Amino acid sequence: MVAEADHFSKGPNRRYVNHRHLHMLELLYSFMAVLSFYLLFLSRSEEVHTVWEVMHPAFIPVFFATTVLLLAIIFSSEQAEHKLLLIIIHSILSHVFFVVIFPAGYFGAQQATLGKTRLVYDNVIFDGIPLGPETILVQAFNWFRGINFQAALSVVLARMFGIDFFWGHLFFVPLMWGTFVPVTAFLVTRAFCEDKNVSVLSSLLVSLFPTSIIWGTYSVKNSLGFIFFFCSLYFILKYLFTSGPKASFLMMISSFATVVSHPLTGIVIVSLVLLAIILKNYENEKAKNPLSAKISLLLSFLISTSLLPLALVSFRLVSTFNTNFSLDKLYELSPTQIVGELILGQCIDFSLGGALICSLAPLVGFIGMIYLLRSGVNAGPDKTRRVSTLFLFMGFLMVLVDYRILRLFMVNLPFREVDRLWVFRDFMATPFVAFVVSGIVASLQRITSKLGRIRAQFLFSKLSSASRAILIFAIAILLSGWITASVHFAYPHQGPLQTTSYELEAVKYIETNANESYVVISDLWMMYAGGMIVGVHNPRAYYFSTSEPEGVALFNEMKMNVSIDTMVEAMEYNNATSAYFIIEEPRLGEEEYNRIIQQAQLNGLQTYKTFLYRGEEKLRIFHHKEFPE
Amino acid sequence: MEMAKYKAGFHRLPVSRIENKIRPENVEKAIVRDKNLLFTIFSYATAFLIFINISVVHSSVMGIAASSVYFLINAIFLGSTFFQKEDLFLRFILGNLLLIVFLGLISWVVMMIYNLDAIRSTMVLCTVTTLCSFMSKMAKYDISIEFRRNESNLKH
Repeated sequence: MVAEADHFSKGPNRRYVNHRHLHMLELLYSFMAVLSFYLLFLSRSEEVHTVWEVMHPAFIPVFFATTVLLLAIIFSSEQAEHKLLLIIIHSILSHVFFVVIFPAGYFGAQQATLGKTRLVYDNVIFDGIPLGPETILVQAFNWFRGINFQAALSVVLARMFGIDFFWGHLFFVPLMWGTFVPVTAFLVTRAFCEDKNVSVLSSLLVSLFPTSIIWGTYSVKNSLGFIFFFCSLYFILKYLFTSGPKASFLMMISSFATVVSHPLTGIVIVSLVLLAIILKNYENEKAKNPLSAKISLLLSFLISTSLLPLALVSFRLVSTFNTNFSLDKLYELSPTQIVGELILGQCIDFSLGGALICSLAPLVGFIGMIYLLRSGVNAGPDKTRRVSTLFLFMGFLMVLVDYRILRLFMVNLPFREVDRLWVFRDFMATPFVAFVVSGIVASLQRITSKLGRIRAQFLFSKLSSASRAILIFAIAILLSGWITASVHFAYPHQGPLQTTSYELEAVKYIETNANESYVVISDLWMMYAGGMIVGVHNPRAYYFSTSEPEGVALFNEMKMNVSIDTMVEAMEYNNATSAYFIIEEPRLGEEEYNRIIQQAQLNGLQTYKTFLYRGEEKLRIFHHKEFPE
Repeated sequence: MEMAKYKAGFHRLPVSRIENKIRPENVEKAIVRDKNLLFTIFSYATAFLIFINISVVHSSVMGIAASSVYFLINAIFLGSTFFQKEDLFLRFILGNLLLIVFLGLISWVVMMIYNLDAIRSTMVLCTVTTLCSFMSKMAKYDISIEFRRNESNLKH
């Protein structure tokens, strides 16, 4: 299969599409891509829970057809650069669902990040985003928190392009991911596979992994870290085979960017850099002293693997997370469940379809790794391929082991979803998936061309060229279906009501019409919306942070008993002269919403503004102003 | 328009030659050559234009145009310095990636020291341009030294 994958594009078989047809195919693909974006734009909604709730019915068929066309172009003899450009467009399309369909992107961390970053953009805060009570250690940690790096980068880019910071932030990661992840997949694969077509295929096959789709859809520091992690992976591979300061510099600078983007990606990349340095040393030393070289490689693998759990535990020194090793989770599980968890990980909680979509591609990648390692041992001196495969295999194994340690033997982790580690695994498996797929395509092509060699039967030869085209088409259909299913699975099918357009309008209305400093008492959703427009804890326009209990307590107090006293109490947070109280019908329910309005009227609280959506009242702002005595 | 054609010297060239002259490879060559630091100065000028846009004009069109030129020049500087062996497209993409890393790291340091207002953002852009141009010059210098060394080895 190695040779077959290598000769994936070299034979005449691949030139089944002539140039005129190729240009037509590319034009058709461009049209379909534009149509997909248009359908996505048509699906944009102002009040929505999930993207699938409002998705245009024609979008998925069109997306599938677009992917089929793209695969047909990939299997053709077009230049690799042109193919990459088309893949970038497809990749951006797969990652912008939230930004295009929702009024303010996906709720949660992305919006909280925008709320904090907004303060940097508006020059409200200095010396980065603060972390809380600061000791020297905490301050040093704060420097390297991902949010500061992301804030700095997105602020500078938004200023440069002169675009609205709201949109600049929301599109930041989807565009970066859509552009750089496919290109990096291409480069990583090319590091050990000479055939450009296998590398091009791998740049599309990143989309087979649902985790790599979903993490590229929202602008959070971890997503930025993943992008830099993948780029660093390429520079590490480059360092493994190139001597000289440039390769080391590239590896170091990209790894540093990964470290400051997010602690998780930082720790994993440090582990991999360590592994790469030892592996390079191992390659030089193994001829002289094979035993000690092997021992040092094994030790470095163990150290690299233990780095992530140990680093997470040590975060206790600088953060409030009490991360620790524990057997509590194991005690809660039956022996069968423990075995299931060890083998399948989180897939054990999924449906059969979900488990297949999540685990099939990594499994194929793992098989490809094993195959290449074995064939590398047997084939002899193909050093580049063997060392790259060994490095990626060790990295892959490291992530698998770490995932299980974090999931089963650790508690109070700084992040809830341990499955974010899958992104590392998927990035490292992608080149091998492409290798296996291209190997299978080449094998099938060989079989069909063998049929064509039976010269005596002219008709049979024609049949063979037709069957080759059918074969390519069938593989394109299969892969497109897989990619479409992966995209469909990646985007959540259930979710709360996302930030609505009237919530954003309410924030903008207050901001435009308020002449003095003010504070807003609201639920979490309005806190997110307010943070995105004016920033969190802005002294002039104060919205509480979603992680702050005081803001939630004030809102609950107002909900129970609407009173001016609570609003006056809230004003003390930023010495404001005005206070606003916002309630929303979809968040509270009709009965509760009406009760609060009645109580507010009884207690003499003035309605400032109401917002309607499709003729129904959805949101109401109450206002109280303190006049100086 | 006519005047610009004369200044660029296109009036002396047949149409096919003009097409050749403004091919991406030639644009890259011209930027990397950076004769009399023309493109470095041009990059500083775009940084200044971005500053004017941030402070006075507030136009997306102007921002996108100036930033595109800024990215083009500096990404080519970095691409030619670190990725000479890659194809033009990949050189450009990787140059952009590295430029984003530099922009991120330098603006991060500036933000942690004080803040990222219009002046300091422009300072970040100018620092990155200086860095990119300097690296490009160093890479050219290294290549010329290597070339001379090979030449003298051949003579000996």
